[in-house]
Amino acid sequence: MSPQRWPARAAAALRVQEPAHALALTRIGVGITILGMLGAMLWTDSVSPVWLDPADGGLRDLAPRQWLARAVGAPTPAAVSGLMAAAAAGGLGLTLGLGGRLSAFVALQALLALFSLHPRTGGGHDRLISNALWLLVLAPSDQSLSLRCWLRSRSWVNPAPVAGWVRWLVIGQLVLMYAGTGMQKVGAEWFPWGDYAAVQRALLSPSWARWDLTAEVAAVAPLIQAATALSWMWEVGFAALPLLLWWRATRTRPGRLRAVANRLDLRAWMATFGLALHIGLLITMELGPFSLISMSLYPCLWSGEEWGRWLRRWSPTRPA
Amino acid sequence: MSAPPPARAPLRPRDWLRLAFVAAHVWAVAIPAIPSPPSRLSVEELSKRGAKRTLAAWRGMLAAAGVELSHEQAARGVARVANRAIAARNLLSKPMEPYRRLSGARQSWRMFSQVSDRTARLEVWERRNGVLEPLYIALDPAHQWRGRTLRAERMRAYTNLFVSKTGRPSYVALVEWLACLRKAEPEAGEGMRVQMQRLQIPSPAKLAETGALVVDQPYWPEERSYAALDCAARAGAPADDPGEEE
Repeated sequence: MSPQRWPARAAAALRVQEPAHALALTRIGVGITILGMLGAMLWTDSVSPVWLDPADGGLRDLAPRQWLARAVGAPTPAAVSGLMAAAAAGGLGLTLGLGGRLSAFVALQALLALFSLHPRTGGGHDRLISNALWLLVLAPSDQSLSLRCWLRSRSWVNPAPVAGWVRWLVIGQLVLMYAGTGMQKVGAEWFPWGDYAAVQRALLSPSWARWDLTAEVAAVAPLIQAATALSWMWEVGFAALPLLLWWRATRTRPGRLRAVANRLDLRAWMATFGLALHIGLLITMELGPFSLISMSLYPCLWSGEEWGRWLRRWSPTRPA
Repeated sequence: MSAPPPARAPLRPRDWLRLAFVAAHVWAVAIPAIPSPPSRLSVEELSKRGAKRTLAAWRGMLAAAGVELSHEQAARGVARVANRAIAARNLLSKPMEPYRRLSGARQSWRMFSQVSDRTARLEVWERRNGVLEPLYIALDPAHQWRGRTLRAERMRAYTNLFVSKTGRPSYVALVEWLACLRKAEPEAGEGMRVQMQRLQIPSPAKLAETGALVVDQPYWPEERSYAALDCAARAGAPADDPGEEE
């Protein structure tokens, strides 16, 4: 055990670097999410009611408070179009891996300006997108799995290390989101004394439902109740993720629980459940880009080295 | 391949700066996410239908464990703890507000914390030859006039507040917007009626038995005659409730 005090140990730990593969996959996911979100708004004709003034087809007068929105004169149609174009350019840069931190910063500020126009039409996905973009500003996520990487070296994969702590902050974001929302589920409908009715109600409420699934939900009511219990446990269980990762980082130390957790690699189980849940939400409920942006953070559950090993295995001619 | 710097290498000022930044970031994002209600709670608020039922369920659970509390006692206790959590959250998160504003790293994760069994759907009807015909009924594939727009995520978030009978001025703005859209269409009738249709979701056991939601009374009916509608005057629709949906 190091004799250093914890601040010094923490400062030393934050110097750790790793290949950018995990952050690169998150970068691609975030870019696709932004493009998908903006594309969906255009396809559904919901830009003008939500982000313009009544004179231009909007629902109500808007009073943007964000600095960029005010600076460009939003919500005029030209300003909103410009902000959407900037956000799309940033999203495209992130997807392709061009512009790196600049793409993330441009997309972030443009989206913050757009989100500020009509905050009531936002939700958790807006916060998750902006938080993810800010984390992508903090590290050169386009170092690998990017067009920039290919243009420089004629290889898609670059094992050069970048700051590892940014990936930890992405994991922290996942923990905060899932554990936070799980702990705030106080309605009796999440528990046995409320008949585990929460997911059933959410699936049947026209506020969120994508389809009328009344007959289907009624046919599998006990399964939906089980899903309510499992999803709550899974969310709250994310509070244990830092401990699982700590055990993984200290795998040579003794301890039966540590050994079992490492052998099972509970990260994979948590991620598999999460993917199933988010794909289920995507199909059955209208929650905008929430599922896509959440899943975009999952690659960071594995380190750059782990992704590097898998990438080596998948493309033996291009060592990672 | 990457290799961490030797753990015992001397720490440089930039290492300490990095630690300070990470600590500040974690502070900025974690404190606002402290589990707590969005605004102060009172015993009166906790005595409203939904909250009272939630509290009753928890009191029942506590009673089974041997802890008997009256509604008043439970409500006072919950309000006290919640309001202290809110005060602590607000006090601790204030210094990081400029950072959150720049970085967008703002969050509170109250998603589906309570899911009511009482819900509602938006309905848009058109008066034609004096008779009302459905134009848009949420989740009814047979009546989806402008459904693609009304079902879009941000529009859904806009209308979601109406389910709990809040944001009436925004609702009126929606009615005017819908009526003006329809008025401009060549096949428009004489006028429009918009309402929220109350629905009750039965318990899982009851739903398995009946296979249907209970249709209750509509609320907030608003009628507009296209002839009397001045769409140019819409520039100036009232702004209300700028809060973000959770």
